[in-house]
Amino acid sequence: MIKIGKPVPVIIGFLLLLFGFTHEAVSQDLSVEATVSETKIFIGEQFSLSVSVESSSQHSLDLPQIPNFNGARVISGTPSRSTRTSIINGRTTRSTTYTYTLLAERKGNFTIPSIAVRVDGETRQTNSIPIEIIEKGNLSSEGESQLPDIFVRVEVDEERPVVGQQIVASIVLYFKQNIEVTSFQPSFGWRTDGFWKEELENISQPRAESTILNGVRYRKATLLRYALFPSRSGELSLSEYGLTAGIRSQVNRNDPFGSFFGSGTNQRRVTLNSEQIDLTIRQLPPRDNALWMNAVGDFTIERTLNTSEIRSGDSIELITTIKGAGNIPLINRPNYSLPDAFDQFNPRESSDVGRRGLTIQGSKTFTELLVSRAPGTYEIPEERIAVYNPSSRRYNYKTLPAISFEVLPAPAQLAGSGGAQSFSLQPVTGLATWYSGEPKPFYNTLWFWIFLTLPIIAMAIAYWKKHQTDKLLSDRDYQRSHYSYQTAKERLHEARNHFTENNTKQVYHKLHKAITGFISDKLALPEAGLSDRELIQAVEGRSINGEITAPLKHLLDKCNTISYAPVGSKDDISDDIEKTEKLINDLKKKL
Amino acid sequence: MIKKLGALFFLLSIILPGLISAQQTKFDIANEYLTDREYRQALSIYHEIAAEDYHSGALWLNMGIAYTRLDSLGKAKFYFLKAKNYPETGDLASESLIYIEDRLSRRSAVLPPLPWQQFLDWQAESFGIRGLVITALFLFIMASGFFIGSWFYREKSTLLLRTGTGTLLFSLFFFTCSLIIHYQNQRFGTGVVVERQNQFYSSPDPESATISTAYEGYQLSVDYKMSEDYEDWFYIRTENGQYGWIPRDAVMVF
Repeated sequence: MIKIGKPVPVIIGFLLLLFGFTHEAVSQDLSVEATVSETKIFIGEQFSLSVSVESSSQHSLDLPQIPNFNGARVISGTPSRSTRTSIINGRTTRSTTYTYTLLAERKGNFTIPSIAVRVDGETRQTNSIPIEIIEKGNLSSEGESQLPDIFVRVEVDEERPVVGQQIVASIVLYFKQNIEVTSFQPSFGWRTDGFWKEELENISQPRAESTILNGVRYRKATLLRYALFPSRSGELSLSEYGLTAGIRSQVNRNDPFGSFFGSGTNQRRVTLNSEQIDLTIRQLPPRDNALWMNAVGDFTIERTLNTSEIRSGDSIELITTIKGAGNIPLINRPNYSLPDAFDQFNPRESSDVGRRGLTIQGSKTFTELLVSRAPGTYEIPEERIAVYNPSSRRYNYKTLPAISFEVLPAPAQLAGSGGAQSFSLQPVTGLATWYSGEPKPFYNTLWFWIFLTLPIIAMAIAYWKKHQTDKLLSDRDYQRSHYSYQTAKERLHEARNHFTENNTKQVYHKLHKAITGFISDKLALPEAGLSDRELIQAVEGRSINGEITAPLKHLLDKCNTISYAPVGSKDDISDDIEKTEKLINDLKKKL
Repeated sequence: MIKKLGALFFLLSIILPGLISAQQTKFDIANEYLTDREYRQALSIYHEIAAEDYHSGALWLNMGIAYTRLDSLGKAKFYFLKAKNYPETGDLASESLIYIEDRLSRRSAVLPPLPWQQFLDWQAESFGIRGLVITALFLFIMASGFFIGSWFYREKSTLLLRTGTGTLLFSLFFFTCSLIIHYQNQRFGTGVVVERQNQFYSSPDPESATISTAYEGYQLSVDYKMSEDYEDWFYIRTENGQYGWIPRDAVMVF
């Protein structure tokens, strides 16, 4: 037999423990709450005070007693009572609400004190509620008339954001107490130029709440919310927001917290437009030297590689993940300094954007696909990334550490891709032919100018020679002049021959011919018929001084008179030949 | 004097081969790196040689090969185009260029050049400016001889004059061609896009209208005269006949 100890005390203890837990659970499950229909009330206006008891099980309730307090009084001591039972996910909730009607009596700020509620004989206390009672109608009728019975407004939570900062634009519908909105339909074409717009998903069903505008009680309901991200600085505008609403003039006054969409008759549709909103978008403040991805918000950034070792030709993924709240849709791809030896393909970009609540939050991932071509050890260098946090109005700098990885040679790797045009590039080794500097332009070289000018010079000389030849052939005077000296020399030579033969008369005859022939040829005078005097005059007419004309006269006279004079010595004749030669040379220089 | 000249000749005979062999030694070391697949080290030395104003077809060809190995095909094409201009590496460079063109992911449409430009290109490639100028001078000397002969050898004067005139016209033609090619070489450079892709614009301003996109390996004609006033931009003509402005960083030019 197995002994189990003393069973009775154990069972009692277990039951007590179970009761204690159950009691504690019930206590925690029960809630008592007091609410008012409006917290800002006109003097003389009625408003409701509700006391609700909510629990998952049934309880015995006593009628709550409203204590006296300043500013308002309870009109009816017997409240209306309503009960509600709901089952959500298998959990049953029972709610009992007592609603009292109160009348505001005095102006001022007051507090509805905590209300005692007896539940199953146990006293529970509600929360106290501050209320403000104000005078009605102290605004001018003109001020009241400025606001229509129903209108729509775009309300932004920040009027001077920086570029990229999220602002929330709420589409709020205001309508008077006697109007009930049954439906609404936003118009298309709300222009938000200069903004990135995302619709927030926080409003499942709009609920109306009471408010006072220009001394008039209105109800207001936030219909839609948008997250807007300005993309540039300066003055930007949100255009009029258009809305079509179905309204009814009946109001269920007994249920100020009732459904926004009521039921009834006399329904009509109205088209509403908000006013344009002008915003001043500030520039981002200057930042330190860091990579800028256009990230404005509260973000964390991580950067990883999908592997640390690949084969040449394989791809590696560099993954950058940005998480947090802010302008996620507007964040740009980080422009890293990557090693040259990689093909970069268009990066993949994925984002998971959450639109619930009042902020855009989520994550964005950039996957850079790098294909290696050369083996080696590579490092993606450290990067410092700047993120602007509009809450703190400062940049947060995140340093992404350097990442190293190894690229191993691919089997039988050569530069070729292995395709049909595969070609093995072989480097040139050994002695190379070296050149230094750039070659001079051809027109800066000596050989060019030499070979260019030589033919020109040759042609110039040849042309001159041709011209001379042509003249000799065509111009008799020029020909005589050109050959005059040569003819004179020949005659002198003949004179010398006669001298050796002792033929004195022929010597002087040839000397005379040499002189007169030279002068007449040189001066283009007639070849015959001129006297010596005329020749001398022609020479004198060329401004030749007496040093030449004197020996000329002397020699010509001697040549003419030698037939009648006694024959001179051989020395005299030789001397005359030399004098004649000298005279002809002098005349050649002067004529 | 003779002693001084002898000493100078001796010094030069020692120093000059040393200076020349310094480039060759570096080149050999770089080639070893290239063979060992240490492409970056090899390129570093090749660039060092080029920075010292030494060049050779082998240097450019090996640089092209190194960049091919690193898959920087734009730069590879650039150096192969340079190597193509050297007789010792022209054929190898041409084969390499065919290979590079095959590997480039994007190729530009090529507008055929005008006939006269084709003729000039053919002349430049076949003779070069120096060859054209020498031919022109040779013909000019011949023409001079014919003219001189016509002046003095009257029996064949007409024949010689006509031959001389024809030869002179040929000489002027070749000389004009060499001048045009020289002008084109001075004004226009050959550029290759070395970035993966880059847009080119209607004016030297990134905010101006985009003409088109030039991808890595696109060959361009760069207008130096038009570009001289802009530090960061080149005025270019693409092979398909489009004109525009491209950032200088995106292009390598020779």
